Amino acid sequence: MLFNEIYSSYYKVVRLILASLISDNKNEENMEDIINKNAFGESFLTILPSLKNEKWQLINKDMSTNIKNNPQIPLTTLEKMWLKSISLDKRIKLFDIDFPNLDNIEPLFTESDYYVYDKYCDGDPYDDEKYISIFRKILKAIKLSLPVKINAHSGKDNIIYFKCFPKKIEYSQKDDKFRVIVSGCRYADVININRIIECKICDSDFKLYESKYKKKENKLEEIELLVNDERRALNRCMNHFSHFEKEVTKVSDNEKKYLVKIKYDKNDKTEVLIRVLSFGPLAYVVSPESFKELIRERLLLQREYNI
Amino acid sequence: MSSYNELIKNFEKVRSYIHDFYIYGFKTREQYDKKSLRSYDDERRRIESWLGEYVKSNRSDEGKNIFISIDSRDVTCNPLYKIWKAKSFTDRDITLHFIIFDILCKANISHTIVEIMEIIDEEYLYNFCEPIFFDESTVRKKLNEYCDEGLIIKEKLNKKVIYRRSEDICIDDLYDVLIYFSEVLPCGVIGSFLLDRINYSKEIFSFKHHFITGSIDSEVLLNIFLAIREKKVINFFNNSRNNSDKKRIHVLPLEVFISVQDGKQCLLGYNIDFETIKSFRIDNISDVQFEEVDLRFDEFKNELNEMKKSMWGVSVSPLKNKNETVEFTIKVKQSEKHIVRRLMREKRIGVVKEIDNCTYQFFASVYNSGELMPWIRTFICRIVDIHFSNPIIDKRFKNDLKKMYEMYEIKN
Repeated sequence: MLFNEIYSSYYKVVRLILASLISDNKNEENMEDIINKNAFGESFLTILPSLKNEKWQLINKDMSTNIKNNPQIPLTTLEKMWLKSISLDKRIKLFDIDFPNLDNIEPLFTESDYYVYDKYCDGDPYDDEKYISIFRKILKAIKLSLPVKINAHSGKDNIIYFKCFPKKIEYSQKDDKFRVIVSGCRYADVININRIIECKICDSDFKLYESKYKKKENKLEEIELLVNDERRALNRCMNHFSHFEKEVTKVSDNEKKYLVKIKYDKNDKTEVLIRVLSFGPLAYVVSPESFKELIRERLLLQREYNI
Repeated sequence: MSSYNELIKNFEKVRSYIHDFYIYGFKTREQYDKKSLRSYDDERRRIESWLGEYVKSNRSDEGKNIFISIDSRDVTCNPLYKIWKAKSFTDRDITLHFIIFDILCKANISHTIVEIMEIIDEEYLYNFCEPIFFDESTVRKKLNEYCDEGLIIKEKLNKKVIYRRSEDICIDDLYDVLIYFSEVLPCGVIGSFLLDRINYSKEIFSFKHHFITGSIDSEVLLNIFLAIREKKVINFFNNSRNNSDKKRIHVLPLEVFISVQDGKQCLLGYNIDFETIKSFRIDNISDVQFEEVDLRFDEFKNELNEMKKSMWGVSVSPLKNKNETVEFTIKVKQSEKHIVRRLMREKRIGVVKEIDNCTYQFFASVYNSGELMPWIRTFICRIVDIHFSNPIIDKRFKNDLKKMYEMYEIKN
């Protein structure tokens, strides 16, 4: 069963508190800190009082505990089955790890049990040894906070060479591609890992270089759409744009019209534009005027084909 | 009157609130007519407590509306997983939990239930003012629950039943694997449970086009996968707008279809009552119950694999050999080869033919050509010709285009 208290934040917090007491840290502030970091907004009202007033009989009056061992529990069958599913995923090769022995465990699912029907078909080559090696080097550099030297194909297919700090690896399920987000480089913020020809981890002092070229901040822009809730357009629109920060208000009860505000990264403007177009007349751009103009430009061109 | 509790017993109740707050978020307190206002207040307070900064509100003439707004690119761990960690329990549950696993602290330590009860009284509760009394049936019930979860193993030794903890698996080295897969694989919340067991700090991954809503349907999805594994029929309530009579539907699950463009998850399964393969949105499914094994699983799975050749999305057709066709042609400039690449990578089951250096034709034969309309519209400004064999769809596409010209005041 997935919704089970053994996986709950409260159990986790109590486990951490008991582990802390076992290691002789009886500091109450530390316990409050554990609660605030690992549970919910109002958990502090329940957890510590319940432990202290003996509702949960795990801590004595003197803040000692009768629990003797680090209170970890073994993995559940469900957790092992999910791990087994991971171990069978082709992307697991990207990670340089020795997977635990799960020989007697059935997977919860395999790739034949689910089908991602709208993923783009030019995803990254997860079986390619060179790709795997580059991915691992970048992952290692991020974990060790080390800079890298990269040779890569640019978007225009030129070969570029640069040094940078890899900060994060970004994955898009839609594109089925990994990109590395970098700083300390004036040529690129993000680079597709599959475009990298060569990657070398450096151990040089790179700090000055990093401070010279700071990472560009993602700049958010907002559009406002008027959604006409025919053919379940509102549900489709809200699901479609659900990964963005968004807000919806009902314009009128009778007409089933809704105003939807969406914030997006301005680097993704073209993508957002064609996604808005995909809703046809059911999502009308109210503002900004500049975005509306982009739609108009496309419609003007389309009109010339007389369809 | 029961007092407010941050934790909940029943996930199903909160599932619909999360859906309303996250997907819609425009309803005011008074518009939640299906539940009492008190219940609304409690659920809202809980969701605020669980999701904190992601819960926002607006005030209009109609009242205050609460909504959840998350830019999933900014989060490295799906915030909705927290809801799965809010299960309520009793004082006795939590006390017994930690004591049992302390008694059975290693896989080579085993005890009978009588021994466990003696140890509880003598070593764990003796110095509390009013020690909780655990009777044998309570302890046995808890041990059996843990056996079902795979945490504890029950064995017979010299006619006595003994309990020991199951063998553990070390996952300390898996944290970057878990961070990644818990966000991209189905039932990723289980990965989040695993991450709760280890210490990790560095945020290595971020996710673009990341649809997190499906995570609130994880229990349904889990049961579907378990049924697929065992080739079992399930029955469930389908709360779709087309199924107002609330009858249980009997289905042999075959495969889960997942969209990475809007996060939609569908079950494709053989509907026992209608004797046909159908799709069911997983967010509409509730209360899954397992039935018998159906030996026809492989036969229907093969049928579904054949059907995929005519499926653009999740629509299936009861009419065999009655496919609809769609054909459109786009024109690109010499400098717009990226559009051609886009057409190629997004064509799914369609076929693309190069007419000349700047003209490309797409063709597909599918069950439901209406499913292609949104995608085809993304090529607006380049479509020189289009034809759907289904006249209703053909007319709708062209009328929609006309409406857009009117809306944006594009004159002849």
